[in-house]
Amino acid sequence: MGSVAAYASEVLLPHLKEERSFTFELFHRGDATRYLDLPVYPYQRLRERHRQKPFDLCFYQIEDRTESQWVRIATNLLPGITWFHDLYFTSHGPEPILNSAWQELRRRFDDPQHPWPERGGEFPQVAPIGAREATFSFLPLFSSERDSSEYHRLIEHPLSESCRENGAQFQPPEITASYLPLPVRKSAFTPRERRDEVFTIAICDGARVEHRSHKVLQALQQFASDETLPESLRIRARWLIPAEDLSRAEAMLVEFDLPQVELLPELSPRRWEELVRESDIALHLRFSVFGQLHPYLGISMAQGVPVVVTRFGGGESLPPDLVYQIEPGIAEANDLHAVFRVLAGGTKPPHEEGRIRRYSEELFHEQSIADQLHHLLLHTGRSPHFQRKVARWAAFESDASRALLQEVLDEVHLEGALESAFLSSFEEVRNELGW
Amino acid sequence: MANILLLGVKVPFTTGGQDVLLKSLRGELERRGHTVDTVELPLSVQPKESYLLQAAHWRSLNLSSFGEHEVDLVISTKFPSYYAKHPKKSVWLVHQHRAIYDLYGGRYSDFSDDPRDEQLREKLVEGDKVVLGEASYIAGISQNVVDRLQAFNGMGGEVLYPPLSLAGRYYKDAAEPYILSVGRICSIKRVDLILKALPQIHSFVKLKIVGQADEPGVMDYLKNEIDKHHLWERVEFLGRVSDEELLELYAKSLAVYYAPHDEDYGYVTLEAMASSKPVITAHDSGGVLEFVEHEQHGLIVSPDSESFGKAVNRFVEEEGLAERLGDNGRERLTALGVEQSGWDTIVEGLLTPLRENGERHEREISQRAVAS
Repeated sequence: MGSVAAYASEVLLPHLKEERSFTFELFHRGDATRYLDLPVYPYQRLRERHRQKPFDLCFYQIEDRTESQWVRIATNLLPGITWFHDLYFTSHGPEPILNSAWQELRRRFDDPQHPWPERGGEFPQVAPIGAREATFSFLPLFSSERDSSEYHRLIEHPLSESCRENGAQFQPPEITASYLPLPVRKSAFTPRERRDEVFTIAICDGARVEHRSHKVLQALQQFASDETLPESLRIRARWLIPAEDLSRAEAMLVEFDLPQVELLPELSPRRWEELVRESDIALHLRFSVFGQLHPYLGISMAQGVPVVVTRFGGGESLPPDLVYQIEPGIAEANDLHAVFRVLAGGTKPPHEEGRIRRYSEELFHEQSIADQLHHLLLHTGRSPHFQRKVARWAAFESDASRALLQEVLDEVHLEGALESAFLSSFEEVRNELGW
Repeated sequence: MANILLLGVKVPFTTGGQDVLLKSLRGELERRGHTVDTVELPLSVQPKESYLLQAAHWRSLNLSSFGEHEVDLVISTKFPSYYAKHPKKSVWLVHQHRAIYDLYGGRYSDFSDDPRDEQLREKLVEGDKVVLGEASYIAGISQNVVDRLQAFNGMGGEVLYPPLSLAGRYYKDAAEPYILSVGRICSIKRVDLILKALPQIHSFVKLKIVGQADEPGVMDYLKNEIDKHHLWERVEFLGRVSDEELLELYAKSLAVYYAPHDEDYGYVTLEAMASSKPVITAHDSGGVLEFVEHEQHGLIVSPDSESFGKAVNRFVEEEGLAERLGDNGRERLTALGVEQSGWDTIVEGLLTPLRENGERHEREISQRAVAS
């Protein structure tokens, strides 16, 4: 399964390039695993390129996966616009994040009188949420509505409060965070033409507790042995799963005695689009603060297929008249079974297909997202607010450079004449090497 | 014959590959008639800000002449010795300051996301570009080191593998049931992983560790692991040993564990091969993998205790495996020619700057030799 950032870039970049308002350089290798690619190499290339010919803005996408870690580091070293595909991370991340003094640095950024963080100090992190990454972002964007509101609740307001309490001259953001959903490809909006008489259930994502697969399989068991269904009804369940969860899923199918469930170990937006086109219902269940339902959920809705989500997180914020929302817990499998029975029995679903598609088109269509992103990049980049932030950041870096050199000079263990002689030779070296 | 200064960096109270390299190089240059001396400055790793100062120390040295000796060539080795200024500078790069390059952003780097650290990182990268760029000749001690230089600084270099200092003295003896680990004891060398693998390894197999700790707290951590798993009967810390003892330890080992994170080069690999012993290493061990092929000269596994444990057990359980891979390693080493015979190529490479101004420079040196 590729990264969400790679998917979003692949869908949106052609649109943005068409506009001719920007030129792009990509610093991303979603398939990289060697040290040359991760974690610093792309960052160093970015930094070097920026020095040679400064970019107008850096646009980052971050999410909860290893490949994203260098980007997470970079957001606080060379800030720009950050599009969060996750706000909650399963770990603090690598060393520079694990013990980051970002709160102190933010105070110094807001108030040049505030001291620099203590060297070698320990700065424990509260929780692995994207607070650090959002701190210096000139404009945080969120591809999930839940994360957008969580950002306001957990990060923006508390940060503002804490800075005020500490006497820092915190300026409330002039541009607030925005919700920018993940795009869905145009091809997914073609209406389905179901002719198949087999009732097909499409299951999306992994085989762990948070994916509710144990509940789905329990519901499938009940459905398969449901004697109230017409004998002529044929059922098919197809499960598109990330390759890393395949063996776990196989074991579960044995445990639940459901050999007829078809496992397709290539979870990707393209593959899901094909699968949903041939399905009567799409399951997007997740009961966890980590991870997202999109872009897969958007793809299902684009086709107008009846969708079942968990009434939690990203699923909870969807309009209930467009999707089936299932409460996680004891009745979960029974509720799922009930939905299967209603749809398989030929009852017209309460959710009107056309409305689902229109909703989806308005929210997720690639052209719509590209237009919004284009607008954000162009107008934010040119706004006086953004320019002021960029200038302040440049001043902050110069300030850091001066502080560093002062620390270096504080290390000189010489007295009187010797010290002045050394300082002049150090000055020569500084001039020569551009320090 | 030329007056040559070898420039090295010394972390006091520790020894590592660079010490061996400088000593051997000096011997080889002297054997060829050159006048050689070594200049080493101490390197302090804390506080990291002091790297600028330490680099500036090297930069501000006047190495052009000492008394009646004009220095014809300096040969720098590792950061920050290559900050030294001389019109004829060769660099035989052991490694740069890896915490700002390939290790940055991970657990083996102490650079944070503080903008002062970022400024420091940038200044050192820029400084490296200038001072390495002015060198008349650059080589790395392995392909891995040269690749990093290319990737991070856009500079090429030749690969000159350092030959073994005890070449010709390694031998093979009947294997005894112990795994040998040789090298500095610090987190990046990952000695802890083989130690933690012991509970899964056949109980009669022991672990012998040669080398000294050079990182605060690392021994406490290892001893705590030993206590936790009741391993005192199976682990032996030998500290620094004599050459003879080391040769014997290699000769009688069942296999050699050497799985650092992205090692620059790793003498230990070649020493194991010279002693006809298989190497247990990891997929991400860098320079080690330039010599060891999986199932040919050792076992290359994932860098975790479970995988290392399984690898050791294979050598115990599969009769003849250790011997076969060890013998293959010995053959490969001979074929590569890096054991002893590589010195001519190395010296020729490092002395390139002396030849570059053509005969004029050589003539100056000979005239000086005649005058003296």
